Amino acid sequence: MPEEADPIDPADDSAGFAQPIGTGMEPVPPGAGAEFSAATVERLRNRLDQFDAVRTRGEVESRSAHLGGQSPR
Amino acid sequence: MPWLLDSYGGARPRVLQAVLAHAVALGARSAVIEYRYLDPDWRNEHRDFYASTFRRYPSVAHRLHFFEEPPDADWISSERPATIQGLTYLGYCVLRPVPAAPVGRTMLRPLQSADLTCVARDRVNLFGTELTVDGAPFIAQDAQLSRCAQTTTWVTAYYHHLKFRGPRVLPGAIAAAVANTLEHGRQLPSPGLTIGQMADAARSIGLPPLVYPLRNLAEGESVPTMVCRYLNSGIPVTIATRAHAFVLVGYSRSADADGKKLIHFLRHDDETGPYQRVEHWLLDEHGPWEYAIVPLPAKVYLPGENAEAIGGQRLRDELDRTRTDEAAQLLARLDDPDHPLSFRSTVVLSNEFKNTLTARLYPADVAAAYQRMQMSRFVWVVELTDRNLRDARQPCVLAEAVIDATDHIRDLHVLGWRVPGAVWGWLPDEDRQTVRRNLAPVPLTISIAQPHVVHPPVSPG
Repeated sequence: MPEEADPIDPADDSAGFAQPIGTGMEPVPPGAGAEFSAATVERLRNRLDQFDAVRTRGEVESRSAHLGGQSPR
Repeated sequence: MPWLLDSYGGARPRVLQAVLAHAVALGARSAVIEYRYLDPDWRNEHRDFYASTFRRYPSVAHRLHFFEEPPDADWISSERPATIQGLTYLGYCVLRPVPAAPVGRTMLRPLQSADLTCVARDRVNLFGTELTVDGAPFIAQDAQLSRCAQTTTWVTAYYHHLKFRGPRVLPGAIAAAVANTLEHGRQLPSPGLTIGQMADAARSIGLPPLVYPLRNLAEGESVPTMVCRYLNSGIPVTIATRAHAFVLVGYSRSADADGKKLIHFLRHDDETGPYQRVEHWLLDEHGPWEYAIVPLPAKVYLPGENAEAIGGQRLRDELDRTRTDEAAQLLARLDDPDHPLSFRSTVVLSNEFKNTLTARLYPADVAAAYQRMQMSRFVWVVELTDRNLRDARQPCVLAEAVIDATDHIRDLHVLGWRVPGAVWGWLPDEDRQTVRRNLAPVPLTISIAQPHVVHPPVSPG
C-alpha cells in the first residue's frame, strides 16, 4: 500500500504555499461593515418569496397548459 | 438566389426564402454549395425518424456558405487551390434533403449586430480553410421529429454549446427527453409539447429552466424587464403563446412620435425565419405571450429578479451609509423621475466581468480591487445606470454590486460592490468585509451588458 500523503490542514489555505498577494483592500473591523439590517433582510425575503411564488405558479400552470391539442407547434 | 430557392425550397419554401433574403440583406454576392455534407443534426434526425419511412431520404445534406465577395474563378477551377482565406464570411445554412422542411442548422450574421445580445461564434471548414461566423443559431422544424417546442430547445442548446461549452445536443435527444412524460399524442410524429414538457426537455439536457407566467408576474416586474435581464446576459429566452413557441435572441429600443419608449425584440421563429423583428410584442401575430422559459447554465441558481433585489438593496444601503455629497446626490436621483436611474442585472462569467473592466473604462484601482476578489464562476452584476445614457448605448454605470450566482437564499451576501468613493468586498470563507476607500471620482463606465457601446472620444494627450 502506498503511504498516504499528509492531508492539507483545511483551516490553513496557505499551508505549503506562498502567502497570498496583496489585494489593496483594508479589512473592515467586525461591526463596521455593511450588513443588511434585520428589517431589510425580512423585507428582502418577503420580496424573494413573491418571486419564487410566481415562478412556482408558472411551473404548475404550465403542466396543464396547452393540453387538448393546443400544444405549441 | 432565385435558383437556390427553386432548387432547395421544396414543398415549403417560406423559411428558406427568409434565410436567403437575410443573406442578401447582409450583402451576400456569392454562395458556395458544399455537397455531401455530413451534418450531425440531420444524420441524427435521419437515424431517429427518416430512416423509418417508406419514402427514401439521403443521409447526407448540402450546406450553403454565403460570402460578401462576388464569385471567383478560382473557386470552381480544379487547376488552382481555392483561396477563400480573407473573404467576408456571412454564415451558412445546412439543407436537409426533406422537401417539406429544407432548412437545417443555420448560422448567419445578424443585420444589426448591436441588437443581437445572444451572440456566439461558430467555426466551420470549407476547402480546408477555417471560417468563423458570429450570430445566433437557427433551425426550422421538420414537423415530424421536431415541432417548434423542440426546435426552441435545440436553438438554446446549440447556443449554450458554442457560448458556454455546454454539451452538443442533437434533435433526437430532445425528442427522446420527453418520451416518458408524454401527456397526449405520440412521440413520433410529434404533435408538439406542453410547456411543462419543454421545461423537462431543457432540464434533461443540462439547462434547468426557470418558467415565468407572463400574465402574472410579481408586482413591479414587467415582461421587458424580466426578459431583458436574460437577453442582456446573452441567454436566449423561449416565449410560448397559445399554440406556438419561438426564441428571443436580442432587442432594440426606439421612441415613437410622442417620445414614448418602445422595445422591439429579435426572435428566431422556426416557421418564419431567423432574426425576425417583433415590432410590438403586445400585438404579436402569434397571440399573447403566455410563458417565458429560460434555460440556464446549471450553476446559475439565483434568478435575475432575486439578484436585482439583493444587489439593488445593497447599493441603496451603501449610498445611504456613505454620506458623501456624491452618494447623497445619487440616492436622491434614484427616486427622482426627472433623472431616471434604473438597475440593470446581468449574469456573466466572473472572468468576463474581470477581464473587461479596463475596456469598460474602470480606473486602475477599482479594476485591481475587483480582479483580486475571489468570485464564483457565474456572477450577477447589478448595475445602477443612467437610463437615458443606457438607451443611447453610452457609458451609463454609476455603481454596481456583484453577486454569487450560487448564493444561499437564506444567507444573503454580495461579493463586491462599488459606490462613489469606495469599493467593497466580502470574503465568504472568513465572513468579513474589506474596503478600498478614498477613490478618485469614477467616470461613467460601460455596462457589462453593452458590448456594442459607443465609446466616448479620447481626448488628445
